[in-house]
Amino acid sequence: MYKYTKMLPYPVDIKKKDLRMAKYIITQLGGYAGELGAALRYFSQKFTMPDEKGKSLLNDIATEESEHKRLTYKKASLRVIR
Amino acid sequence: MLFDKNGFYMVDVPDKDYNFAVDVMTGSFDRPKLYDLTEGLEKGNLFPALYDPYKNYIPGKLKASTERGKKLIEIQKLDFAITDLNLYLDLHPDDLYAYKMFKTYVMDCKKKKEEFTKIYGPLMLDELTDEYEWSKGVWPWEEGGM
Repeated sequence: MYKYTKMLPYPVDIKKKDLRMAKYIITQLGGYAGELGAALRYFSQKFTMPDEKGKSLLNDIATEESEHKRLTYKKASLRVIR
Repeated sequence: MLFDKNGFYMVDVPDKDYNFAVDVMTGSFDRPKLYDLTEGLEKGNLFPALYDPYKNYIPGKLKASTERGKKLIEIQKLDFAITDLNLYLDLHPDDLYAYKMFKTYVMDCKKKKEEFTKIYGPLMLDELTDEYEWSKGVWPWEEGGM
């Protein structure tokens, strides 16, 4: 089951408001090379893995990739708010 | 074919990564060298043998302005070490030394989280406090939360 932790994997603090940068960073979320795509790709690829190493590694990488989207969101949103 | 006759993946890997994998598998060094927790989180990598610097970029130093932030960074350091060792152990499940490190870090992290919960409220829903504090306090995406 998906469980939320009230903590990011790496501290994010933005000092300066920067709308253009916010716009640029938010593009890293979607698209063919974005964080969402990466996470979902690993989550789906694990189903076809034939061995233990592949299954566990892809599942764990997918979990980590889905953490990255939280960082990306915060990096972008604080640049709008500040 | 995905595997060769020894059961190894037939995928091109950089020499450095390949040597690292071979060293571990053949036992050329009995344990992988690790960064300490702070350097690990700053560089986003616990294994010096696998660290590739990006051009001339030097990772920033971690510092927190509040007491809560300092405590949380300590937890984040351990949390990162656990995640990175988890990924390593997926590929090297027989590395007893790495698993021992992993267990130590998990235990330390649990202890740190309990201390943190007592003062600042729960990080996860199953960490219990006297009153319901889950919905109170700063969320990670807000200013000051991390």
